[in-house]
Amino acid sequence: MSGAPPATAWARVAPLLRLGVLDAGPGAALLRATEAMGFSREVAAQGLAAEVAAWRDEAALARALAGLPASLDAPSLGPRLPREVLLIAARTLPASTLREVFWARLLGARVRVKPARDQEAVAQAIAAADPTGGVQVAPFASGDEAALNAAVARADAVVVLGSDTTVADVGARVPADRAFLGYGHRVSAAWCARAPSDEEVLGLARDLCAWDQAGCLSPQVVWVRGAGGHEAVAARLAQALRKVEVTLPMRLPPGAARARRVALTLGHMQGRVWETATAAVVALPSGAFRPSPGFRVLWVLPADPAALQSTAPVLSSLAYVGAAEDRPALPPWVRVCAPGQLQRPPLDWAHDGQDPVAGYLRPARRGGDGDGG
Amino acid sequence: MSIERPPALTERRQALVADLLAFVRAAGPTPLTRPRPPAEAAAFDALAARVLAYQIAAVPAYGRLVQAEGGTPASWRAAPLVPTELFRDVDLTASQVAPLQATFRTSGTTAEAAGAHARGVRRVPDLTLYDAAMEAPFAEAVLRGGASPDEAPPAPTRWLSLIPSAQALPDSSLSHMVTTLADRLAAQTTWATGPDGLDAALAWAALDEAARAREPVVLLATSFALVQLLDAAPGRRVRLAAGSRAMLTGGFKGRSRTLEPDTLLALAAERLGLPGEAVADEYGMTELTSQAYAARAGEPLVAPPWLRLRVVDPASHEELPPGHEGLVAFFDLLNLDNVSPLVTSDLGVLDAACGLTLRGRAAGAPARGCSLTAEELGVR
Repeated sequence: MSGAPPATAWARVAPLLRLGVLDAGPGAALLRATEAMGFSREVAAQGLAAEVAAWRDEAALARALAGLPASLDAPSLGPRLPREVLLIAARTLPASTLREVFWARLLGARVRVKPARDQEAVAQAIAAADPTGGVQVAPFASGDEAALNAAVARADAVVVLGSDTTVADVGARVPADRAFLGYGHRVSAAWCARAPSDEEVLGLARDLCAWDQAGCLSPQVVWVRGAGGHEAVAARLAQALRKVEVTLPMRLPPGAARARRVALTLGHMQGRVWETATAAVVALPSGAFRPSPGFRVLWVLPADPAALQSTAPVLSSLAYVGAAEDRPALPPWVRVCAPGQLQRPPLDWAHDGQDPVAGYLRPARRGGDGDGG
Repeated sequence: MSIERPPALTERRQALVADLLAFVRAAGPTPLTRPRPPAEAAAFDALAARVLAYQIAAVPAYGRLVQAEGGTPASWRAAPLVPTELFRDVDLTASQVAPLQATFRTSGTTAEAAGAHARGVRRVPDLTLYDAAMEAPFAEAVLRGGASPDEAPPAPTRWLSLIPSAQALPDSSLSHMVTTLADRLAAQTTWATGPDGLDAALAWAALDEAARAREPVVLLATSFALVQLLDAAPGRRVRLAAGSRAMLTGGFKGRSRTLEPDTLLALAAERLGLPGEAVADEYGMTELTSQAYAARAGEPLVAPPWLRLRVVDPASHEELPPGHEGLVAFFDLLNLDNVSPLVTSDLGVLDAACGLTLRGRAAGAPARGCSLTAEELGVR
């Protein structure tokens, strides 16, 4: 299947593209389910539409498939396509679950989605988009070891989106002859090696507001080089946010108010704070990485190369502003992109350094083994 | 905001220390008893205004917060509240008082302990106020069960502490408190918890010895340590002499083994012979100088006159009326060299008599995917 997917593969994925039609059918159901997670209609619609639209990028798809071995379609001892995928969805955004369902279906596998608690409606909406029954919802309690082991045992490939602890726990249960993709906790940030342009600042504001700063692709910190430059950028970010949030509203849930108050108090004590209708930009004097309490609270800090390097092990993506030669050296799993693109990873993105497609393949068999799958 | 020269601040501080000590002394041996003298509230307000003004000038970070939130407040009730978790991030010590007499650190959860900056730090230049104010409320609630000195029998002088001594845990404010109290009030103290944890055998031996001698005991413990003691010797029982008393403090934050308070009290009665009315609750924290008590566990906590208990809205920090649940907040007059207006992550409800009932910890925001918490990330 290397290169462009065959027509049969597209036939499996095409129905899922209906999920991008948000005013009717499964797309509308997915939108409602995403709103039920607490997102505004506007944020949910934009995020879902963007994720589905990514699957229309034929060039990115071709790149992602280019590395697949040519022998997958024929019986062989080499890596094999999965027939059934178990997808354990954490309380992440629907976008990440959606992407993995698309991949699994493109590769011809049935997908059983174990939804996160209280998010069965998301999984049901995705499943409803596939008229062949290729996507099924398999709910069970997170503490139900027997159900988990049974679900893992029947799958050729297991994909986990969740905490590092969950990823490690599930990964330990997957036999060596099955495929495993584990996506744990990560954070994203921005690095400005020079003063960003207005367009770049607007891009960062969009990155923050998309999905209300939830998920591993949302920026938690913006580092800015140049003495005092971080406060100037913080002020400009606040201005940009006031424009963006008009079309991407957010309601702060009651449980988030306390953490935001703590963040603002810290900002007032140590730095400066800019509040908008939905967001808060806090400039602090130290460049040390600090996780955000979320819900659009963005730390803007003086650039600290040591802080960036110490964050790198858990860094997913970095929006970069500056010349190529000034780009900090980063591990290969960190995706570097332009501001505004943090929440738009291309299909061939190596999520946490893992090949998004090859990771689904069952390992090569040793000669003489029976066909266990 | 004008900048005072340190000598002027020092003089103000010295005057405040003297007046605060006088206020504590004036409360007498029953600082928890209600009703309070009518003049006491006005005296508190006057001292609070001076303490607040001093802290705005002497604690730079707090001064900046006040300025950012509109300038010097009209009263202590309107003073910006500092979340206790910010003791992890900000030095909230009056800048001109040196040297430090104590540095207390919060215990933190297991995950928090992994990070260099994960524990809150409260630097206390001077323990005078702390040491002066701790005894009367403790004696009233824990040793006398709320009775006045005239009404109560002599307090036991044989103590067993499941809380580490200050020698074993020098950065614990609770250890400092119990060690100071033991030095003053106990004739004999068994310290059953050291750096390596609880020595249950030692503790049980001390209880057995006291019971054989028919001498009452004062037992000091965190709730978790008491459970550890009971779990270490399943089925073991001792009947402590009448007049024995206990102080319980702390909960089960981050622990895998938890018990409902009523269950723990029932176990203490069954296994130690300590009836519920013999057990007092203590509520304090590293970030506070003062403590609140319930002379009988499970009843509302009462504060001494130098500590105001409040319940506030989590978002606005507006004070909530009695009967409404919110975040527990304080104004601790004796936090002179740090900050007095504090807000915690504890939930509580005040009654009409300003008694506080705790209702657990405030829940965090709904999880939103891959974002790491500060505890999980540990990257600073």
